[in-house]
Parts: sequence; structure tokens; C-alpha cells
Amino acid sequence: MTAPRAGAVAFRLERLTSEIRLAALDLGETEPALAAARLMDGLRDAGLPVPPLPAWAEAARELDRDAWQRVEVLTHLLRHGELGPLVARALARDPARAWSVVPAFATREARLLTVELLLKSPFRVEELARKWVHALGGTIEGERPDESRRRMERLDFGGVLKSLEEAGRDREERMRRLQEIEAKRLKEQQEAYARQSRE
Amino acid sequence: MKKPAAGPFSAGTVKAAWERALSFWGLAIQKDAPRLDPGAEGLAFIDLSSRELTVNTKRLAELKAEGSLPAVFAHELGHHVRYPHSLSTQARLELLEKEILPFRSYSLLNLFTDYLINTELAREKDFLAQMAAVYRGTPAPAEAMEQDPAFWFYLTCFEEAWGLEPRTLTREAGEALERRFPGARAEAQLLAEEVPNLAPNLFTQFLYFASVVSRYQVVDPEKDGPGDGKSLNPGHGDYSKPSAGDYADALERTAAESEAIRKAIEKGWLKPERIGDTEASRQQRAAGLPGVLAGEPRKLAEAMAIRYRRLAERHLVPPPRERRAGDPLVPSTLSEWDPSDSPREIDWTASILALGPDLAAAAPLRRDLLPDDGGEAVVERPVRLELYLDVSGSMPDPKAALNPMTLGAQVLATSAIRGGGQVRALIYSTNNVRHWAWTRNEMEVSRFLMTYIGGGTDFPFDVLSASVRECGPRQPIRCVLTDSDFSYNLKARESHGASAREAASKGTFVALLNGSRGEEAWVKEIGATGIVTVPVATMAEFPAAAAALGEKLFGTKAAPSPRTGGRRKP
Repeated sequence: MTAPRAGAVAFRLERLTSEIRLAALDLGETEPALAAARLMDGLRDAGLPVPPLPAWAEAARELDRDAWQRVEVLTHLLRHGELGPLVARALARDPARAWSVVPAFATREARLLTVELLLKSPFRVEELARKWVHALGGTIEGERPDESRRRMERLDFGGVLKSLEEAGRDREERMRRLQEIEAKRLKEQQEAYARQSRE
Repeated sequence: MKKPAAGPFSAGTVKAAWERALSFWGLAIQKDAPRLDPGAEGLAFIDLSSRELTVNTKRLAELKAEGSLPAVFAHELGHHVRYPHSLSTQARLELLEKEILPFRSYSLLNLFTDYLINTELAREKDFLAQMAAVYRGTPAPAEAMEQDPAFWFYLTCFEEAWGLEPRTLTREAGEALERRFPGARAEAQLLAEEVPNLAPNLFTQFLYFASVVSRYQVVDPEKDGPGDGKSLNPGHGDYSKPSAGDYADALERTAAESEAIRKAIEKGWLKPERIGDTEASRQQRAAGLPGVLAGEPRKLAEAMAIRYRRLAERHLVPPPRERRAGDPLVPSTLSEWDPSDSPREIDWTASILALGPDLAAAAPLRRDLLPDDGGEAVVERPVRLELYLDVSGSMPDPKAALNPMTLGAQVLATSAIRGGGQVRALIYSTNNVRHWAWTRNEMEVSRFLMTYIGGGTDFPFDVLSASVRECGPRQPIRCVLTDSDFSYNLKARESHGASAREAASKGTFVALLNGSRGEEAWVKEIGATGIVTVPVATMAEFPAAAAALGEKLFGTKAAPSPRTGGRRKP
């Protein structure tokens, strides 16, 4: 359910990011049992099948606190606002797997996107929105699929962090070099000053 | 009727652009219309003191961004209303930058304030497009990256913040940047994401910005240090520089700056050894001023003179006040009137009320009058103070760092002037420089005290002798601020001792001696000439010692009036 297909559901990016931000803001303490119940209600309301209990227990085993919070955000998108029917329609393209998309997305693609990060950064909200649309096999209104993919890749926080590690190494090296130069200059200045005093 | 001339800089276009810029910032401020000057330096400039704005239309046309006039106006107004908003904030930012990037040949501050302004402008799509046009007007061959990588990184930040396609603004130079600086785009994205989260503390935002962008300073292998490359930023140098007073204010950190430094160290943007928030680092900040004002020696001296005057204020004691008797106007008790008293002193009303009309006529009462409270008057004791300040090589240049001995001289001079006295001063090392006309102008004296010579120590006994002769019966109080070198000078020639003895016998001659506890042989040798010695154990104690001396010399021992609650320092 990732590559957009003909007739894919199109999402308005601005609307989606705004709903995600609201969901993140509304989020209180997450209680896993309640979060699961709310997701199941959402699936039922959308006319989608709910998983058998053992299957859900197996999928939920991987969910940590941050992932449960993401499940809550995604459930909010499914149950509230004008986006709910669109999400439901996208999930309905493969009804049997619909329920599993949520925990899988929360533990894999969106792994690094904590709610705290979403509240701090519009970039991370957009990243979650784009990745969620991609996971649903949907498209972004007004963008070509390749354009959307490029933008999603550019926003990938994991990729950013990896590049930052590289930048960090390069920075250390440059700073070390600059410190050497600074120390050398300081030494030269002190020597010149001492010479001047002697004269 | 003649149709008004159309075009990118016609009166109508400029007026509309100006109104658009004002409305963006929600400005109800009444400002003069901007000046268009094709011969102006740079692209645009706003004077933050007069708030006068100038745009170079020729440069804007060269950048092929004639349509960007509203955004350029709005950008310049942004310096006035937001970043840095005031020249005092700008001075603080400059000093902070000098502390963390001591050898950067050009400043990151303009990029920083431009970045914050443009981020706000980008809320409006037309402004975003107009600013993008200005930046796209800057040629961007790959070689341009070498000249100013920080600028190309800054544009990369906009590409990320504004959601533009990579290299829309940076083009070939951007490609070269990403090759030369791995992870540059990721850093740009992180910066664009993080800077708004650090508001509203501008200093925190700046420390973070500088910690990231400092990686992109040019290291010139030939010079074996940071390059002196000119900034490519078209907005570089687009607002005025702070005044000497702004710099003097900025030498003391605000709570916001201290908080920013604490956070920067906690987050790892700054290494604690690079900057601290201790006494030592405050001195380090003062030491950064000559770097910030390189090439502006007069402004540097003025800024430091203001700084010394302000510090001296803390040690000053108000001149003594004396009660002044007022006229006897306040009615008090009644007593019997005596025929020898003035009839005007009879209080007839009180007499009749107290004794009845018959007895009152025979033995009236008089109303005693007490003097009115005349308040207090400042007693001026016109003294003259002749200062001799040792600025030999062992003392720091007062402009480069806080010199407590210079501050001590400043305290003495100000105490004397505030006490109604006059001052003249001489600074000496191997040679000497004099401000020998008596003055009551504090600023004149403090500016003079910023002079520095360095070198050996030779007290000018010839000048001292000439002064003693010149002053005749009206000898000034003489003070020398020095150390043990003075005793060597004294012993160097027979005539030196004689000169000192003569000055000490004809008037008050005091020596404040650094590095002394009062019991050393060299101090006693100085004292033997009649000079009053004041031991000062360490340099740092000079201002307090000078204040105590000032109190004695200029008669400021009297307690301040409890009525006026006069300021009195311990």
C-alpha cells in the first residue's frame, strides 16, 4: 500500500499538516488500551475490519510510548475532521491489511518523529504528513508523484541525522585546524610583544 | 493632463512599495519616505539612529530585481523594528560574536539579522519571491563558493526554510558547497527548523546560528588563517553602527545574554573554555572591544572612557551637605511680651483668647518664631587635584582591558570635580603625556586617561618640580598611582628625592602603591620623603582605595542627610 496507483486518494498537504499539528497539541497522556480501542472504533466507523486480538497483540508488541502517541495522532486523522473519509477511503483499498498499516507506520517510517518534535518543527510535521500519504498509497494535491517523492526524501529526518553526523565530523576537523591556527597566532603575538618590551 | 511616468522606480510605484512594506510590519510609525540613490553604497541602508532609509536603484537593477522594491523596503524596516531593533542590541551582539569567533575577519551578524528578517518576510508569498529574486541576481559560479561559503550556506538555509527546490538560489555555488562541506543541506534544514524555536531570546538564536555557520568560514591556507573574503551578501552592511555609548553599555552582560550563554554551553553549541560567564569572561568581553572597533580608535577611546566614568560612579560618595539656617518664620510657643521686645512679636489673637481682652491689653503674649528649615546646601571645597598615572608596560592598556589603576584615577578625578574642584593629569611610562590645563570637565579627563604609552617607568620629577614652582602658594593635592618602580625612580637621582620632598612639604602628596601592604622597605623609603603612602595590595583594589582616599581628601566624610537619603557607598 505504498506506491500511488491510478485513482489514488489525493490529500491537501496544508490541511493534513494542520490536522496533525492539532492532533499533537490535543494529545494527553496516552493509555495504550484506550488508544487501541479508539483506533478500532475508527476502523469500524470507516467500515473496515478490525484485527483478531492475537494479531493485534502481536503488532502492538513493538509499540513503545512514542509509537503509541503516533497511533493516537493517526487515529485522530481517521476519526476527525474532513480528512477522516479520505484516510478511510485510502485504507479501504486493501481492507484486509488496513488495520496493520497504522502500527507498522508508527514503528517504522515514522520511528524518529516524536510528538515533541512535531510540536517544535513544521518540517517534521510535513515529513509525517508526506510519509503517511505515501504509506496510504495516496498523492499530494498539486504535486507530481516524483516531485512528492523527492520532497519526502529531502525531509527524511533519518537522512538528515545521518548527514549531520558527516557534517559533525567535518566540523570537528575544521575546528581543530582553526584552533591550531589561533594558537599559532597567539604565540606569534606574544613573542612580538615580548620582543617589543625588550627593545 | 500629463500621465505620471511609469516604471519600476516611478513615484507611484515607490509609494505603493513603501506602503506595502510599512503595512507588513503593521507600522503605525510615521517615517519619512525612503531615498532612492543610484550612487549609494551597497544595495540598501537604514540608519538606525535617524531611521533614514536609502535604496540603491542602480544596484537593484543590476541584480535584475527591480520588482523587489517592496521586499527591500520591508527588509530594511525589519532591521529597525525587529533585528537588531536597536543599536544597543547590535553592540551586544557584536561583542558576543567577538568573544566566540575572535578571529573572524567579517561578521556573521548581518547574515543573522537578515536571516531572521527574511524568515518573517517569507510569510508573504510576494515578499518571498521578491527576496529570492534579489538573491538570484547574485552570480553563482562554483568559484563564488570559495569566496564566501557562509553566504551560500545562508542561501541554502532559505531553500530549506522556504521549501524551494534545492539550488534554486545557490545554483552552481550551492553544488560546490555541498561537495566541499558534507552534510551542508542537512545542517541548513536543521538550522531553519531550530532557529525559530529559540525565540524570543535573540542572543540564544545568535549563538546557535553562529555555532552552525562558523563551520563555513573560509580558511585561507596562504594566510594560514581565516580569509578576509568580502561578504557576497547583497544586504551586507545595510544598517548603521552603534555609538561609543552603545558599546560602553554592552560591556556589561544582560541577564538574557547570560542565559543564552548558559544554554549554549548546556546544548554543546559552545565549549565552556571558549566563553564563560565569570569575572574573567567579562574582562574578555572588554578585551573584544578593540577588535570590534578596529580602525576606529577615537570611538574605542570614547567607549572605554564612558565605561570608566560609569564604573567610577559606583565608587563615588556625594559631597558633604551642611544644614542651612532658615529665616524665623515658624510659629511655636507663647511667652510673655517684654516692653524691650518688638511690638511686632505680639500675637494679639492668641493673647485675647488666652487672657481675655482686658488682661491681654495690659500684658500681651508674644509668639516665639523658630527658624524655617533651610534644607541643605552642598558645600563646595574648591580643591585642585594633580594626578600622575603610571601606564608603564606592566599595566594593561585601559582601552584593551579594564585597568583598575586607571579606574582609580578616574574615581579620584571625578570625586574632585564633583566636590567642586579642578583636575589636571599626567600619564607616564618612559615618556609622559599631559593634560595640564585645569579642568572641571569629567569627560575631558576620562578621555585623556584612555591614553596609553607602555614601556619603562620614569616618574617625571622635572614636571613635578615645575608644577610646585608654578603653583606657588596655591599647591594642589598631588596623587600618583604607581607601584614599587616609583621607589627606584626616587632613588635614581639625588634631585628626584629633593623634588619629592619639596612637593610633599608644600602641599599634600599622596602615592597609591600597587602590590604593597604598607610594611615593605620600599614603601617606607617613599614615606620618608613626606609623601603620604596608601598601600594597595592588588590592582583590583585600586578603585576602592581611590574612593576611600577621595573621601578623605575631598572632605566627603560627613554623613549624607537622612532627609535626602543621600547615596553613600560602603
